[in-house]
Amino acid sequence: MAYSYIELHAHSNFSLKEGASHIHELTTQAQKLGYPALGLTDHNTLAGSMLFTQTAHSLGLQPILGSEITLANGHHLTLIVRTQKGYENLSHLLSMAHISNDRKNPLLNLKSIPDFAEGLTLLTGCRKGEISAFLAKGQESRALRSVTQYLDWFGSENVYIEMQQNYVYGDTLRNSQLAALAQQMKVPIVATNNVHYHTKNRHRLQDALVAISHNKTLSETHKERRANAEFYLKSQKEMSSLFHQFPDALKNTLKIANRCDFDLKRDLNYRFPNYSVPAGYTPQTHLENLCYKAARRRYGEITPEVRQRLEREFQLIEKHNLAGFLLVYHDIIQEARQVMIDLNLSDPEIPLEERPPGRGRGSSVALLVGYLIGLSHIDPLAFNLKLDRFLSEEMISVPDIDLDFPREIRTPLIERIHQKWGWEHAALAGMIVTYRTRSTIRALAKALGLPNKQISTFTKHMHQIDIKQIGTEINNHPGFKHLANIPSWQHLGELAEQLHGFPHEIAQHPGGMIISSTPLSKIVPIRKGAFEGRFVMEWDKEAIKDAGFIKIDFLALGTLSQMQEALQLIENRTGHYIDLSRINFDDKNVYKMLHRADTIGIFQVESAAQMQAIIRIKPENLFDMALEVAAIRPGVGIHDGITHFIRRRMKSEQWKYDHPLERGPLARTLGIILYQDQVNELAMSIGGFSGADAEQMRRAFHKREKDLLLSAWHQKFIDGAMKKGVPQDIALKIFKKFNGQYMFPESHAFAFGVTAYQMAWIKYYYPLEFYVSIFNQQPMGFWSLETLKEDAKRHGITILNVDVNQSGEKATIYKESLLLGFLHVRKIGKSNTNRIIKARNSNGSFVSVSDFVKRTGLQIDELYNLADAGALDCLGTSRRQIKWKIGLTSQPIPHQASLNLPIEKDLIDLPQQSSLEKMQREYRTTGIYPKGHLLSEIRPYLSRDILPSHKLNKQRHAADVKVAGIVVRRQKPRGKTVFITLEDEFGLIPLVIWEGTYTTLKDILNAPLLVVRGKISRREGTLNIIVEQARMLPDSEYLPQSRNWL
Amino acid sequence: MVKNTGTPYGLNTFRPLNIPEPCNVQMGKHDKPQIITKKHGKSLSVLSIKDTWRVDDEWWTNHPISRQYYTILLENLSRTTIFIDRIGGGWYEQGL
Amino acid sequence: MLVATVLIPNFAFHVERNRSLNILTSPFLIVERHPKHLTVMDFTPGLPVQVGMKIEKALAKIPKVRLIDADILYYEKTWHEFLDIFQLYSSSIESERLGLAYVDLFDQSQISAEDLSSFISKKQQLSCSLPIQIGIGKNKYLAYIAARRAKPGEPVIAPSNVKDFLAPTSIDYLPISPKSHSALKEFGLLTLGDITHYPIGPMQAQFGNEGRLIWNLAHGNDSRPITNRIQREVITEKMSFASPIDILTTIMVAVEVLLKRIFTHPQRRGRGVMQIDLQANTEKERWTKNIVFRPAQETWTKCLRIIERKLERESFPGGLEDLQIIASELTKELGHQKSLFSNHRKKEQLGELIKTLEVQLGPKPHLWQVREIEPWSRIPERRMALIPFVP
Repeated sequence: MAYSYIELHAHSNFSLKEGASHIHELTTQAQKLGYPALGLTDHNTLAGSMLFTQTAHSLGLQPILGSEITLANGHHLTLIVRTQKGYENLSHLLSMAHISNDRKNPLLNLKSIPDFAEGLTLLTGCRKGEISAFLAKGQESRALRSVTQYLDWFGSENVYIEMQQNYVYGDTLRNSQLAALAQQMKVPIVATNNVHYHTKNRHRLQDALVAISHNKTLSETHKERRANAEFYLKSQKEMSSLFHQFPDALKNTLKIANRCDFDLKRDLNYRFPNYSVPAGYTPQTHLENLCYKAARRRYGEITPEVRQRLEREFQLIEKHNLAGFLLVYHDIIQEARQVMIDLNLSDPEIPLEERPPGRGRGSSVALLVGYLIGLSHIDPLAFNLKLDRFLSEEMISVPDIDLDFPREIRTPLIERIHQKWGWEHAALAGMIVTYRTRSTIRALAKALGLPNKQISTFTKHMHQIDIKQIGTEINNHPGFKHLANIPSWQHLGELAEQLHGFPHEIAQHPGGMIISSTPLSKIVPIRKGAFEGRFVMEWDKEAIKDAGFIKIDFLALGTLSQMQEALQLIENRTGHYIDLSRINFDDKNVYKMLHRADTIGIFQVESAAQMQAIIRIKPENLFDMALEVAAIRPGVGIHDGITHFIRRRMKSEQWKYDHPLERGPLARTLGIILYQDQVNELAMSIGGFSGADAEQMRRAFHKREKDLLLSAWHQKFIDGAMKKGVPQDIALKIFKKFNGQYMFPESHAFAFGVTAYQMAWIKYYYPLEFYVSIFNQQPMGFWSLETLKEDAKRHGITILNVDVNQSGEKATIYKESLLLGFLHVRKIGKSNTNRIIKARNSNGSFVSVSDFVKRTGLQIDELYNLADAGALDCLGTSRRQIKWKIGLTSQPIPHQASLNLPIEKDLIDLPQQSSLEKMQREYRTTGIYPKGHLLSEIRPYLSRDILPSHKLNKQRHAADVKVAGIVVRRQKPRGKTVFITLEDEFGLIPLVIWEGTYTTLKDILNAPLLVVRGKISRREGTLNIIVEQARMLPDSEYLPQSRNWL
Repeated sequence: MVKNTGTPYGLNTFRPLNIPEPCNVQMGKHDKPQIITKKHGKSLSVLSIKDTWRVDDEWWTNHPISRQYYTILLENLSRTTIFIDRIGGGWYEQGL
Repeated sequence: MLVATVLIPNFAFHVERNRSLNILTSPFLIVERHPKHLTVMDFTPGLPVQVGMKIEKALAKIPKVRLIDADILYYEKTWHEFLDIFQLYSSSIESERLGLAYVDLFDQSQISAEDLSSFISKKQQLSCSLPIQIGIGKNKYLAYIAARRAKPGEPVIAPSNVKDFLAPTSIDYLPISPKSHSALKEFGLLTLGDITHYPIGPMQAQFGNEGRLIWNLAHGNDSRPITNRIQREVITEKMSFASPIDILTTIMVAVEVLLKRIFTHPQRRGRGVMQIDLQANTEKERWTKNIVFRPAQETWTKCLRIIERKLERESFPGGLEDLQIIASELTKELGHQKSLFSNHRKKEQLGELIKTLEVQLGPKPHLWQVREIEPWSRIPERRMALIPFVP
């Protein structure tokens, strides 16, 4: 198809709160309109450039990169990348604009441009360009001077006068002035349409975005919004008609495009840092030397198996030139170890592999070299972990190694890395924060001028509903349908669906860092992070991965902090030093505990879904732990994978492979895809894919533009399968098993399975230390402190209230019990804790309430909280009396100077507090009630037919039962069924609520305290109650909050 | 067009100025205005179109606006501005 | 002394219900606006909410309840009209809040509670559905508790055995700070009878000055005098629009016109304005905004600036079809000096001339001015408007 025009000036939604179309929408529309190429020129950013490049390529379009930059004087300029040098220069200019200005308002000093003009083509800009602005004010001479300057900087071949005709009042006049200027200066003209959306009707969203960006309503942004709906990607015919007077302007778009010869994927100049090795070594030989030494320590000798594996790995490492890469990681681990030593969390005498500062996750765990240099805690030989996912002959990109660290280590470690390499060579990865349901509705509601109170109600309701249903909800829901005829509410539905998922801001990735020998500002624009001294690149992890950067993820894992603390406590109390890598991994006692679903507080296996699965899967070794951990993932559950796996494992389901070629990849998981790797393996064994293609296909499922990318992969898979003799319908059936929901890589599941087992082992053998450490690491995990407390009690642990004369900052072990710490009490933060402990340390234990009040100087509400938490019980007989005394001591009579007069004459006998009142106040001040449970207080008032949880096991399937409890969990994982867990004084009660029942009982089920009637459901060893009726019990506003995932 | 609340003009009211006046326009070649007939006025031919622009606004209200404006030179050498209402239909003359 | 307490629980609710019958069937909350949040001002009896509760909390309990903006001025006007009935009995009437008033009977022992109740039923102007509870006692507190126990049409007189009468009363009915209420409950002192077990000393030591009050009231001692009510004086100006306006610049022009009229009103002359209420009907619902001026404002220009700042972040429920401004809390007359500047004098003279015209020719505007509204608008008819001229 002949073409006469190429759009060189288009904005996607990476022009934040300005562009109103996704990249894939723009590129697809460009393809439909017959464009051979498209220029993406987002405002002051290249954040969308990788995605744009890939999407354009997949559609056969030439991607032309550029940016519309904002100058310090507020004017705009359009820069188009011609060459690699041009890209580097543009990236650097954008970095300068971001770093030398306010984070949210990047501006470029015009004087910076000349040194970085090479490789770029300049278009003089839109209505807000300098030239247009000067001409509008009648300042022709200034316009002439500017053009002269541009020619001087960029060269006469690389400057074009940019013309736009969007039917805005003044466009016609401006274009004739620009044409005259171009003729006078003999500078070529070029036409663009300043595209902000792909189709005309998207102009509404663009208007709304302008209002949102100014934090005003649409009505209030008349001046800021565009005049009309003409800023869409037009057809070539439309552009020809608009510029029929200036045919050269159209032709020059082709000329500019033809000169652009930069490919982002091909021409990026990223280099991982080199590693300085000791004299006489190369990175390869140094790495080998380190590994052999560590192997002798670990195994006693180099066995044939170890040698064979190491040699294989060394060969691949050398082939892909990864020795330096791995040694840099080794360096990072050494830095982390030093941080641990500095924080007194480790001893320099302990070898790295015995107390590793971090743990690898993901496919890197399969590397023996990684195990030996301290990157992972798993011996891949012991668990027969395959190397291919991490390292193979035809690897397409450098592998990621993600490291989990205890929370305390992570932040100081990141700072050390920044210092060691400098910000130009070590920057944090970006994260594209997108609009979610609530933020979408709030932003649009404000723009549309909808009343706050209606929107609050609506947003609360909508967070449980799919954004695509918003229009239907407005039309049908009794609370909102009276609004359905109001235009703004109608538009809310339509715009919300469009806006949902749009980029909202570029933030910092929680823990990803890129290290590079080439200055990063020349590879991707860098901007300031939210925290002082942090610098973030514009690309997110997807773009980084596609670019082949090596991203190191420093992740904070609460469990590792818990583990460190527990080991330290065990050593302190018992004198035993425990090396968790050498415990018995086949301990039947530990597995029996897991089989009982006694897993509260245990990493990865404590969720309600895991508790239901583990009593059926019944893991008996670490391989099984990996299966257990991997099974409860969205990607497995999507086709009822979990259910089928469990049934097959319990031998209650007959099954066979859809094709014999599935056996290799799926035999170990009974024909079900449990691991990410198995998708790759199936792609290779059935589709005939190479390892590299298999990985690309698998990743395509997770991309934003997946619909576009997957159709090509789908076809390739089917064609490949049929070539291998797999019937088409079978191939289609197998392809349908793949999905974009999250699944663990196999080695990752192993790594987590081992950690889960280790925590279970600690819980079984050292429950006191287990619970003290988990209390101190909150918030983490699945359950609230109250539920953890109940579980601790079932394990024979006594929990003691805070005590002003014994407690420390956090929970500690005191007389073989768990003693709560001051930080557990509301309003008693670190500084008050320090005051109390300092007073106690300097002048001994507190002897009376007055003594405590005077020596610590705490405020009255802080004192009351301590009293209600029971912390002052050691100083008085009744908490009411204690609080009365606090009131007398803290509040002297106003007209009297504080004379420290005795208070005894003002003491009175107050009514006794009931245990229910005590309990409520302990819940309010600490979140837990150590001595009992709410249900034990109110059970005498409940009807007799309400069963306690420990009696449910005796009920037969389908029996009618009534139960009562505090709600500790609400969940709606996928689909429409809701799962709620109640807790009574004896344990947990799992409830299942089908969709229809939930709709009827929703408001009741939101209450914190419920009585429920339903039927027992017993399946494969599990027990649930299918809810039929529910009522609220009068609530206490002080009850612990449930965890909700609705 | 701006919605009328039904309040009669008079006591305590607030009146916009430069309200568009309906007129009749005959279209010619390439869908361009050719002859304009004002209310209570005679018909005049359009000599040339000096400028054209478009306004799309207030789509979120009960009275959205979508107008294609033309500044035209008439046979009597006077200039005027007209627009076609793309929502309600009809041509109007309006001073700028 | 003899005091009658007049108590009408949920007064605002009853006023709204009487005013608009079509909300009779569904429960509603009356919502009061504060700078940063909305709270419940009143509600349909029986709903699980309290006065002062934040609206988010209330909606969490009853998500589908209807919300109505409080019309405080109307409630106050209605309340004072109701209290005017009691002028026959007493010149000393204290209005503690909407729905609660004290009438000083000045020891009119010949008036019985039944007489008083019967009088009210015959004379009241409002709908008979107002549930009026009457209590009589020898001081305000006793009369108040008596009113609490009364039923509509069945007044209660506090007996001489005050201690027994008060003993079962909840401490919730003590007129003390929320902090003291909370503390009494924390100490397990839930009724007035609980308090009377203890001497005054410890109560004072614990609660300070409020401790003395708590103890005295629990024993039926109340020396608080009845303070005569103060009625609000208001000036109202209103304007309607030919087409709904929702653009702030246009609204401010209308506000300016109305403010000018208010500030030239004879009742306002020389007095400062401390409070402005803006009210409007919109395409969707009624809109109100209350603005308090500290200090009181003497010129319309300063008022205008303050109002503009407050409305910049305002979210209107729809285009305004009219606008009413009510100025209230007028201060005493401040000194008024004729301006020495000629332009100002000319404006004053012009204003007086316009008033003369109004008197001779009728009240409708005779002078108009062209005013720029949005000169930059792409829509030409939005750029300028004709408004009644006020100098």
